[in-house]
Amino acid sequence: MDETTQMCLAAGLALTSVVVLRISWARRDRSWVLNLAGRLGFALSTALAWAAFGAWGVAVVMLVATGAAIILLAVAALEPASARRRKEKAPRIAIESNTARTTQARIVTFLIAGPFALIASLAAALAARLLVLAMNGTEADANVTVLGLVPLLWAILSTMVLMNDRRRTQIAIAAAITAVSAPFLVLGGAV
Amino acid sequence: MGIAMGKATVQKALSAHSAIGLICCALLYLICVTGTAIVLYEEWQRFEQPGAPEMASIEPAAIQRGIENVLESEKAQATTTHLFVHLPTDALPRTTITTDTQAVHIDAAGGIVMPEENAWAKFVLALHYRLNLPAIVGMTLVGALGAMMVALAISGTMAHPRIFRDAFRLRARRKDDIATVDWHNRLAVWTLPFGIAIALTGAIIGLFYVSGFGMAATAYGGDVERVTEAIFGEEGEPDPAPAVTPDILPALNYMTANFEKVTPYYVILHDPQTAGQHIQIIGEHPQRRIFGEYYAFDGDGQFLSSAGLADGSIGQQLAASTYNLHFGNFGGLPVKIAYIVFGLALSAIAATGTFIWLNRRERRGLPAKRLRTLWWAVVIGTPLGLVTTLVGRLLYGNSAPFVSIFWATFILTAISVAAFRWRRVRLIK
Repeated sequence: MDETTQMCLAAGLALTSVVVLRISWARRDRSWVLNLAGRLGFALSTALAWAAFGAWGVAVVMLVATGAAIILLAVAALEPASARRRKEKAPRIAIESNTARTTQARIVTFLIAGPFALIASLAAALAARLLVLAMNGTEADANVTVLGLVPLLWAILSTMVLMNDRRRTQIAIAAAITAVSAPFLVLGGAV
Repeated sequence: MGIAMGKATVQKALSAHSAIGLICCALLYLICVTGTAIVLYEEWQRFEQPGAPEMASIEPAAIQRGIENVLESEKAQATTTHLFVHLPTDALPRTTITTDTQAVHIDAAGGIVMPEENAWAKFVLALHYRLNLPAIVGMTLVGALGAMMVALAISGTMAHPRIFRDAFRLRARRKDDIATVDWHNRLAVWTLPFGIAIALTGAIIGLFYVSGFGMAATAYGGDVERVTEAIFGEEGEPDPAPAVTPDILPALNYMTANFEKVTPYYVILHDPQTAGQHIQIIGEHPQRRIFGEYYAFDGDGQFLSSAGLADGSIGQQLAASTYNLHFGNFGGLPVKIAYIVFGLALSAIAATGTFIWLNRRERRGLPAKRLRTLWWAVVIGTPLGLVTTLVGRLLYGNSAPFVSIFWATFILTAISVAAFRWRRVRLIK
């Protein structure tokens, strides 16, 4: 099987998997067979795309699957509103906690989740850079690790900080990351 | 199928999601809308200047003549430090030469035809890249918003207890808050891989001033260039002694002979007409996500090396993939169309997120009418601003004051929305 055929098969499989999951999740009772089939289909299509064209193939297959889902959503959007509207439950979305906070407290939270968490992320990413180099990684790999880790760690840290109401815990999360990373930065130096 | 996550955790995640969303919503929406528009960057350039000479390909000798013509036209001034030749591609079938001071289109024979005029496309790109602010501030801010978009994806996923079971449930025709919530959740779930990819790559590009400077400070004695040189390769040593114009013919011929499947689409001359001059050719690799590979040649067009973006370390290949993955430049028009559709979805997610928060406030008896008006102004004003600036470009040409037009549109939209809502309230009364 040549690469193009493999890629077409992967795209077709991704598309079918979305449809299978649509059928599965529309049922009143769970069908583990359909769920498994849909998810395995995704896994297989990703593997096929990777085997054919590597990262490019995976990106294309992801776009195909997302496109198929958006089309199915468009179909769902056209369906008439339920006749049982009044009886229908409100969407199961949690109601956010309504803790009263002062403006000052909000600013402090912003500073911890924003600049402080960014500094902690940068420290951790720079420490990770030294680890990559210590494990005989190339300088390019080490530098790209920092470029990729800074936004990712910052996103995770900010979420963790904001999910904690207690100020001490918020500070402790960011401070712990910085404290663990700092010795690496002090001991490390130029490449 | 539900996710085994406690109610308290879900509430906390939603709280974090709301907090990040509210702080970032307006700029995030602006970035999503401009990002969607700029997917067609090349196509917009063709639209702006339909009379520019177009060609499917150009002979190497004609490119050489074009370079010589452009350098000759700048004889009276200091020689450019860099000269870029954009070669015809499927998306932009034009040959354009850019120096430190000008950009001109050349014809298939290498003659200078006209200056490049794509100020609107560049304005939208700058608005997306750095919000029309100075690069260091603007790009860092946009990068931060990218990171916060990743945080929104994480907290949003955690705050959604029935992420899979509801994945296809879209009660769009209901005329109440449920429709807004459904639009937000369903689009967000299905564009999650796309959204994370876009946000993360954008954040990597935008936060370079933080991560790059951090690396430079701790490992390279403050020299930021060395950070990128480790990934993209080094520039040659400059030698200001005068020399003849570099010969790109052997370089392009070498590419044809030795890299059959690679399509050169950029020729870069470093320090032309000096003894330290050298040539770089960027070649596109088919069915790859990397933007290309750098092929280095000396001033006589003799091959030196390639940077390793196509076959070097994983880090190099990842770094070279960032740009194309972010802008959707890796699969021609079909991928661009997909990026536009999903970009619109991301814009809708940003818009509906704030409306959900406003609706919730209203249900609690805390209506925020001014905020709602302002948010409507953002939602309508941003795309409208792009339209009015484009009209400005068509009416006033390349030098139209795009930034002023854009923000004037924004303010006028806010006033109009406020007036409309005030009139509606009066009519209801």
